[in-house]
Amino acid sequence: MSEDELPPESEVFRFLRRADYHFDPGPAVARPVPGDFRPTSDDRELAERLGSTTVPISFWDSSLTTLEQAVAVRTELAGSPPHETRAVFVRLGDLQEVALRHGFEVRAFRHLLDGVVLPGATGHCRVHGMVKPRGVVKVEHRSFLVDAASLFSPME
Amino acid sequence: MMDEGDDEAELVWRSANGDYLSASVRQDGTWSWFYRSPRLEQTAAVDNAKLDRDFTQRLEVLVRG
Repeated sequence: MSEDELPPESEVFRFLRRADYHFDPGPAVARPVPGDFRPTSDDRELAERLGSTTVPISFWDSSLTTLEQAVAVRTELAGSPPHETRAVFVRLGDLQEVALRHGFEVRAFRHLLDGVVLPGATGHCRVHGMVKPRGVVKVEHRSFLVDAASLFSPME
Repeated sequence: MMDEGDDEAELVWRSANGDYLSASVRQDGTWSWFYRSPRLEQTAAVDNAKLDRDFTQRLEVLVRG
């Protein structure tokens, strides 16, 4: 494990990528669906810049960043408040276990955000293994994402 | 909803116990259904882009009644 890789006991959270197409079973129930793990254009751009063969998606380390801090950092980066401020968290090891069961590998790495000095910015990380690799059957990968999504809990 | 870089719109339903059902329509008009129960570890999927034309036509008739 490299120095900047998060250990399995880490708790990480991610903002939902939700819009009004999603129907929750009850009010204020925020659990992710596979679409919430889609990479943004920034994620894809970074992967290209790093020459990465897998596209990482953005997460935050709960031990270094609060939800409010992450919202502030995202606002600073985008120049306006994010559309979706609800987030969900999971223990990284649980996510990795489900991934392995489906034949995938999930790994999380710390990622410094250039030029951002706001409190909590150091908790930003990139998680590899959530985006469907080329050649993998979509149904198999989606099954993994649905099972992975069921592990997440809403941030209070 | 169409995300940047995606080629399909997806309607999602999920039950309180985690079962998941989605219906997707792609920009080329093809569609798919996907169901997954994490509890039962069961998956079912139908993708009309992978079905033969006759089957699709029969489905259309069924849908139209």
